[in-house]
Amino acid sequence: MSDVVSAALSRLSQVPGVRSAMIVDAEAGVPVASELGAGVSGEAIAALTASLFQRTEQAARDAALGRLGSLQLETDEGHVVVAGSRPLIVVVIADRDAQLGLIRLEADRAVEALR
Amino acid sequence: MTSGPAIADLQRLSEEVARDPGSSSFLPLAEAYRRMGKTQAALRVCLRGLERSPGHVGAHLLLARLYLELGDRERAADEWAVAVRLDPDNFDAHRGLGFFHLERGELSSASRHLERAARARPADPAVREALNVLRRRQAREAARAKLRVADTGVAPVDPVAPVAPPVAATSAVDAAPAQDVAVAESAAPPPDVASRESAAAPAQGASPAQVVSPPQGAAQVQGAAAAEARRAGGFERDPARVFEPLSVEAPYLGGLLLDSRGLVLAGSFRTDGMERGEMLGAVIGAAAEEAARTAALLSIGPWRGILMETERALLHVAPLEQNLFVLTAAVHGTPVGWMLRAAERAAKLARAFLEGEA
Amino acid sequence: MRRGDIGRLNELLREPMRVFVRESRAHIALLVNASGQVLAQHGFVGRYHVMNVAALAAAANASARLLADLTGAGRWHYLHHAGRSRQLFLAPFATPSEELILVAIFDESSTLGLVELFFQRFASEIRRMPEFAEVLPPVSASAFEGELEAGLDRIFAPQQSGEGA
Repeated sequence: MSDVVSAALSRLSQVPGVRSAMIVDAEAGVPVASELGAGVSGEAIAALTASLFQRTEQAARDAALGRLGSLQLETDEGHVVVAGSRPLIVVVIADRDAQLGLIRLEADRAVEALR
Repeated sequence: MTSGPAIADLQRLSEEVARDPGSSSFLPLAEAYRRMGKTQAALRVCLRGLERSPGHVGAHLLLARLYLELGDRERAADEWAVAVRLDPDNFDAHRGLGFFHLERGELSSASRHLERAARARPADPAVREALNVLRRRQAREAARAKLRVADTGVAPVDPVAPVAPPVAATSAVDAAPAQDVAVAESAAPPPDVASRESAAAPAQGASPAQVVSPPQGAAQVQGAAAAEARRAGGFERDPARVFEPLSVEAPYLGGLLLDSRGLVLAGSFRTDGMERGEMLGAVIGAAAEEAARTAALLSIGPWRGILMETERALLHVAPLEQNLFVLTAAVHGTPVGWMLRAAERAAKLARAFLEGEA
Repeated sequence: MRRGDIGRLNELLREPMRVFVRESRAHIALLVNASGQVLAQHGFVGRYHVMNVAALAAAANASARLLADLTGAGRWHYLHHAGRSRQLFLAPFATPSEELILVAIFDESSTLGLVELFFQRFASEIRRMPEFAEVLPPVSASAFEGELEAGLDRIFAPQQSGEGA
């Protein structure tokens, strides 16, 4: 992983409220690079978020809405942000009260770094 | 016959476009062909120009006018819909769509577009008259819905319906629309205006003595009347219009109330002038299911919603009680904060609708 | 090796296999022991087909283990073959009684990561089952062949033939 991508991932993981940040191979559903919080399974996050991205991407395509750029899953305890396009996607797990605007900004920068 | 100066203009414009296919001269060239009555040539030039400049609002408006002249109202409406997407305050497009929907009896959509057009040009006489017709018709539909119509197989009158086989009017209510037909005809924008404006004409040729729908249209007209009556009683009672209060906001594309099978219970979603709610409902279920599973397996609590940014739209799907989902859609580029608030409002509207059903 | 309890194991493993296939979105799944005995399957349409895959899976596992030993690579976690439209996942896991091997075949509706994630959960569940908690005594070659056939008969009995990909 290049220095630019590593730096982008590092910046992302330092945004207040971010628990984990990863680059995931969306085709294989496996982690490529990650900054994980304690006790977090990177493999599980990679597999499940890649599957979510894939399903959502398919729905967007079937609905003739074009390419999926990003998705943001909100839950009772946090947020999952997935951005980018195949084969690599950026995944962020964040707390409920995290600065989502900043996370989205840094995620977009990470996506640019991957191009 | 084409005059000398007109031919010279045509030649000059043709040469400019031939020299530079991306030149904006394609639009005046197409307009020149249209004025000469060469509609097909105008169409070709316009379409070719749009291939290079798909965001050219004026070209979409001209295309709408050409389709109208060729009798293809659906395509004209598609072009106005694109123009509105590119230029949300475009008067010509809103007027065109307003008349299009008025002609089809889609009063709520007609109202939305005509009111936008009226805001842009309050003094436009055609739009003013059309709004008067619309309001009278809405009032009449509401009154009719209160009557208990005997099952005679003869439908109530639709004054803006296309020409139908002559059947005598049978009630005092049915006799009323004669005036509205005349007003509707006079309210239609002139079919040919020597200006940049595109025109939309309501259905022509419906004379008072003939304006009763044939029996096979009875169910449709009664259904439309019932729908309008429900609307008169409140948006929330007409399933298709449950989320209508959100439609006054420019980014809004549609809202749907879905069940776990992907079936639409209420709402509407339109893109490019076509209703696509059923299709969207059918495909979005898989994403919603996956969102729920991801949240559960990552142990981050039950999911509250998923926001999807695509090339053409921003979608938000959230679970509601009873295994239902609310989907809210807005145009691409809509601020995320607005979207989340709109989604909350959509959920409230959905709950009000469900409470009304109970 | 199993003795006399293949039928019961088939029943017990039916639900975990079904859950694995559903969650991982694999098309075909097969659980065998290191000797190639079929303990459970999902998605196969014929006994000869499953017999071949079972035998080859056991052989692939054995040769991969030997290769890992020879090269000092240590224990391997899974084998993955990526084809044009389908992929194969083959993973061994140890239980107190014996080593088992899961084979899964999936397409673009799933991913390697997803299959591996739910394989881990499947393996954990199997390890907890009392049927796999005891070390088994060895069995003779003739008894083994009888058990193999009996296992396949039960898996492809008429009431089970409704399971298919």
